Amino acid sequence: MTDILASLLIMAGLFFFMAGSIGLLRFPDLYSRLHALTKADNLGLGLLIIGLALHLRDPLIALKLLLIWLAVLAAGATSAHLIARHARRREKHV
Amino acid sequence: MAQRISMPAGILARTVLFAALWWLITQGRADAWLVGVPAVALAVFASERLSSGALPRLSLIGLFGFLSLFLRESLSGGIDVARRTLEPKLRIAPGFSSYRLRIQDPRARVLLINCIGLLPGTLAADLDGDFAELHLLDADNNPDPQIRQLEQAIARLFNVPLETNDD
Amino acid sequence: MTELLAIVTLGLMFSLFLGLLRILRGPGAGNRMLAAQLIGTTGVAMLLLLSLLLDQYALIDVALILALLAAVAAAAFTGQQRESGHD
Repeated sequence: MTDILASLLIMAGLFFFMAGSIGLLRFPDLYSRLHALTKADNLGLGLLIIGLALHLRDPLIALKLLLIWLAVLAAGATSAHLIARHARRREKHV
Repeated sequence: MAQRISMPAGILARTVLFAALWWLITQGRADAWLVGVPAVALAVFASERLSSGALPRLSLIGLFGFLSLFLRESLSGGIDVARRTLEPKLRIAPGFSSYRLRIQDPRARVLLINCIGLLPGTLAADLDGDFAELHLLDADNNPDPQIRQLEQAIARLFNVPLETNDD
Repeated sequence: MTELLAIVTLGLMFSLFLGLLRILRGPGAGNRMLAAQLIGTTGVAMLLLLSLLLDQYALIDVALILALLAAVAAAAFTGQQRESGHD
């Protein structure tokens, strides 16, 4: 039963990663692509990590996976803002 | 003066924090403390140099409220952007808008600016004084209410007041 | 479960390939920084799946390092661009 839920979460994770990449292909400008990449990939990784934690059933590894998700989340949110700010300031200064 | 009093407490809190992280990363292996003790000491020293003083006093209830809002919003942010990318006809109308920050505490501001990028359809592109410049995936939607909600949750988390004079 | 993990890993590889395709065409340093972010998140996901598939739990540590380096990379990129760009 847990493994069915874990499988569903892991597949949902893959779905959001795919959506993020398709957003990269389809969205017209850098800012919009940042939206797709940051939001979709972070959610995808979160779902995948919950799925893996359910499957492994080891609380210590689950905590470590959570730590990894937090690190990716912080990195993704910060870099999205920094990349957008960099592009925006360049636009204004030209 | 206030800083001098809070220094030892800050160092103790940092030591506990980094030791807990090390314990988690090494999955509680005893022999890893051979490297862990100097590593934790260096981490405390570096973080004390980068931002000295006490760690922010977070409210536990505030943390719970912030986390549940954050998780809910990043879930709907991801679903929203996935729907927009997968629809046959691309339904986005990108644009910029400006948001006046009510929160003053610098650490709370950094958290808010970074979290805005995980809300549905918004991304903080720049910060100029009290005004955050937002990039919107759909400029027809007013993003202010959802950001106000997040700002309130972050103010409660940090136990800081929100400027109340509305314009 | 093993089959699922293998299929999802392949799917992630395909997703990474799709994203890189666009980014490598896209103009400017900002667009290329997207590649670093994409490789960061997808790479972490693939490493975690591989650690289970191959029974190599050390790969979880590699994923952690990759996640931490992704944060440093973006900060370094924008810092360096500002120094060389506007001054």
